[in-house]
Amino acid sequence: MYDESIQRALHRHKIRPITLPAPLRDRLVTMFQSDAPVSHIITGTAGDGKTYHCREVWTELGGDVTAWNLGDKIQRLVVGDRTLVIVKDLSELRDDESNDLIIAFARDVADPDTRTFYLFAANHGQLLEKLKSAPATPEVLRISKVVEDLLVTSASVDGGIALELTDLSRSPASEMAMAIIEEVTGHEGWNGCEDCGASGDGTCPIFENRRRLIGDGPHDPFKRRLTALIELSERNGGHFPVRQLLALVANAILGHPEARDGLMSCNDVTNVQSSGHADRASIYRNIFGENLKPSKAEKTELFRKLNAFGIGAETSNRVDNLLVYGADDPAYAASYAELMLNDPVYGATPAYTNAQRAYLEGADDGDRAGFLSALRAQRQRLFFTMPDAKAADYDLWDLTVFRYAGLYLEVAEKIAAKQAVPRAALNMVVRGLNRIFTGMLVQNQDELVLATSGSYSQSKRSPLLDELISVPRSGGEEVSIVADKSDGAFGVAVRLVRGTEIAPVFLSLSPTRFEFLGRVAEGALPSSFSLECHEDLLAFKARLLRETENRRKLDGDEEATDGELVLRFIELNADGRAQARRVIVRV
Amino acid sequence: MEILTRPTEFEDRAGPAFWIDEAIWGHRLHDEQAPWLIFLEFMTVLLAEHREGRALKEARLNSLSYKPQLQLRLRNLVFNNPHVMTVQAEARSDDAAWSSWLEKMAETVGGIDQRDFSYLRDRFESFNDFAAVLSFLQGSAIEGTSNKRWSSKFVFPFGPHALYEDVNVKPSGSVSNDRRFFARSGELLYLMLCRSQHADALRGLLVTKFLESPAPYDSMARALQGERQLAKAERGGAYLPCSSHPIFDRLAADWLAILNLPIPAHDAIPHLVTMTGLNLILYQLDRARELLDRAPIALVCEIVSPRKSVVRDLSADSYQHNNMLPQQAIEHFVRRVTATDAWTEALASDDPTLNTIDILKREFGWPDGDDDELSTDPQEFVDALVDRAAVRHKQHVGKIHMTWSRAIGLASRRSSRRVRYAPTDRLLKTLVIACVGERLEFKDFLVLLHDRYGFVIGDAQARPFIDAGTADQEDFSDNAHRLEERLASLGLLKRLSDSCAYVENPFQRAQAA
Repeated sequence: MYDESIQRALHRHKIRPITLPAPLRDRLVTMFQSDAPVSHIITGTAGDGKTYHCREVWTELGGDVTAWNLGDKIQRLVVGDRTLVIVKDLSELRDDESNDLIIAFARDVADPDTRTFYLFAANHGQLLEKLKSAPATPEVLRISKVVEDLLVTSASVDGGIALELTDLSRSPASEMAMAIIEEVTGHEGWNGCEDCGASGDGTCPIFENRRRLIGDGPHDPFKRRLTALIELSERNGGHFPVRQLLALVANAILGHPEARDGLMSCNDVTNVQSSGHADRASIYRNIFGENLKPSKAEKTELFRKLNAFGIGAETSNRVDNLLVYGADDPAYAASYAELMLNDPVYGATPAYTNAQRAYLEGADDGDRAGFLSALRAQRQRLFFTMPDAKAADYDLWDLTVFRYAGLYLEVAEKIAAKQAVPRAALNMVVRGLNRIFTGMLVQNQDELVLATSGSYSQSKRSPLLDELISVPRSGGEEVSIVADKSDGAFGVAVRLVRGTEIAPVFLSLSPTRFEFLGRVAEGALPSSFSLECHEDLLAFKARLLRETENRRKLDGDEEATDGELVLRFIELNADGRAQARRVIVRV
Repeated sequence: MEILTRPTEFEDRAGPAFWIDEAIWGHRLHDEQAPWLIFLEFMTVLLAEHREGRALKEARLNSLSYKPQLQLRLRNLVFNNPHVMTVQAEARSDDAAWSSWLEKMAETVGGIDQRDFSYLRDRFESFNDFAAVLSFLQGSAIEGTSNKRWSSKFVFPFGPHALYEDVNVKPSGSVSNDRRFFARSGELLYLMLCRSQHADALRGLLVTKFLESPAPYDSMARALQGERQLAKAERGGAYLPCSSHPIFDRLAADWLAILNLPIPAHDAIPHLVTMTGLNLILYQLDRARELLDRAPIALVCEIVSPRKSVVRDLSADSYQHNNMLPQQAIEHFVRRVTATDAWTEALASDDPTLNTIDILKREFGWPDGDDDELSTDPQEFVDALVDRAAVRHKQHVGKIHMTWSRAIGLASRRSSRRVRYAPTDRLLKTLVIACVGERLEFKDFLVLLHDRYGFVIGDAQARPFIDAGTADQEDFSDNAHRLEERLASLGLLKRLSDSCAYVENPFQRAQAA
């Protein structure tokens, strides 16, 4: 799916292209038309829409579409008395072509009176490579430094360079996913299905998947859960470019493991229906690429990111009881009817009920693997379809690796709306931090127990108390969950003093860190992701220790008694609360 | 290949029976001395030499002789003191607790003539405070949970009072240095750093960071030990066979990079230990390679993947290949004597037996004295020597690659039956900290690891395997990709897009912020 080939495909099939919101496009067009344009670099992951933006700016500013399609690598456009140079892909240029361009570019962006402006697109690596391979004139070196700073820190200290940089990989993918779903499912091309025999009886899997994607009114949880996954993944640093989202939606609607390349076309539908395996086109499986060969799905970044949630493999007793025994257990009858029988297409299909029956009756030739894979598909389905009313009862997020993701999203929502954060979240975070800081199962959750090992900070146990920091505001101390200004997520902030002498110490909470703290607060120490988070939290502790040290200096509290070493050991009392115990050694 | 002459000034009857492993690698590398203990032995040497005003200065090659600290009171209190719990459980008055403990302690203390610990009563306000301090020192001890004898346990090196040498304390009370866990590998480390280009820079950093501005907790060790106690005799005889080596310089450069980080000195120690282990393993392999005249050492590293892969097999092969090198080297080292002119002359002489024995004595210090079992055939001498050398080599020196590479997290058997190079997260972090100044592009990082340590991770480094058809480019690019993901999840890598990522040194970044 490249912008160039999409244009050709559109032309061949004569269908209306879907249009997606592109706020940057409008901003760029206005900016280049204004009196004070600034050269701009668009960067982003492959598939974020860099070429799309360049083409749109070109046509909006009056460029000729045919000229664009001829495919000159460097396009020039006269806007008023100025020239705009557009390069839709810097990496297409050979070094001898790009050298002159880069030199001119480096000169022009440093010149306040220039009449030439630039719009470049390239992904990060290519951009840096081009700058590196250009002749190392002072101007080029200067611009290289600016670009590197813009890329890494989003800001440049060099005020003399008029250059902006937009990183498309930082735009929120969950909103984009919604827009894509709406555009794709609402496209007028679907009208053609009305006359089709396959969809008439409501058994066409393609049509069925589209119907489920559109959803059943505003309370349908499917799209919300899908975007929640995308959002969590992004906050963990896994970006979804537009191209991947398009692939996700297309694969979700068309996927079937028995079709060619795992994707159904209309011609396959009759075969799928007559094979009796229509349930395997389940959109809930397709989301995770289960229509593809496992090796293929693993190699596809999109599915790798979504499968990191472990949906299908993770479960809880309650969900599995429902799925396995629900048909016979009166306690589950109502839920079973609502969650399983209600969905004859992908839920309690004949295939599923037969496998379930065979499993329960322990038939000798019982196809256990088959039933287990059916269970997997059902867990995936339940994750996306469980009504909100039942979500708490069945601990919806237990179906994923991130059991605290529900709480995480709730906190994120409250933070965004500037409302009070659930108390349980702060307690959990503080208790988790305390247990990691001390290496002991402490229960304190109204104060932060800042401890040191006395030896090296990577040490697991820290028996020496540094300070107890109050969680509720008290004497200038406070521990709270606040918004992260840099990326809109949130984190925990520890304030040590009134006023501004010592800035609050901040730790950004990604879903992974939040989950880790939650599990630790609960008493478990999951080894699978312990090291990465553990080290982060120890680094956070080191920062806190530095600041408490500063505070003691400011207060003149430094203990410098000659001939005495005062130690404060942490002791756990009967309730598991950490307390200080002073020990003096005369040295 | 450079092999310095064997020092004669410290002749010791209990010394090695022949000079083969020692001539190649030095006297001596020892597998039971884990990298942490190498570091501690090094610190003991450094402290002793610093007090003599000659830290990291070698007046004459292989003339090192020093007097280490013993600190036996401290060690008895922390590691040979099972009475504290019982005394506390009796729960009587503080006075009674002290006197009961002093009595019990006087009976069991080892290696000290002066068995009176009553000076401690002035240092602590209560017996329970004393117990808390001991428990703290036990908790922070190096490999504190090991089941080694008490005289081979070590408190954390807080400062000069907490450093002492490994000894054997006999029930009779005699103290001897049996070189069990301080087997001179730390002395070799000391000599290597002495002979590196960076000795001067290192001296300043090490002395100021570890010896002259100790942590306040060092005073705890002083309070328990009282006056410092030195070993009775000088320790001499360490031998490092080359006057310079690229690995010495690299080891020193790694240490410098770590010591220059804006982190507390004690936090640097685990990284120093790891880089020491890695460089010593590579030193052992490289000397063997040089002797055998083989291609540069390569370590194919698998970044652990969920399932079996081509890289896993190649990594296990590469481990196996390297593991064999040292033994092949000693065999080659002995047998090459038979290709010399002197040997041919000796065989042609009137008394070939005597003359060839002379050569063997001169070259390897063997046979030492009269050995009646020897035949008279020179070829059989050589075979016998090779056999004995191989047997001795396998006991300790031959296990170094295996033991140390596991200790520093370089090799593992995780989800496989064969041992292979599969670096742990901790090792990866240390590598980033030691090798990356501020930030480095990921591809350049792979090149750097290859050039410095011979690590083969990405497809660009695995060219020979790919060209030979034993692996696909994809196998290794997947491997590199896994490393990228691991580093990102460790917070050591910032990914800008799918084709560009920076490896970042977390401490330099923290300082810049």
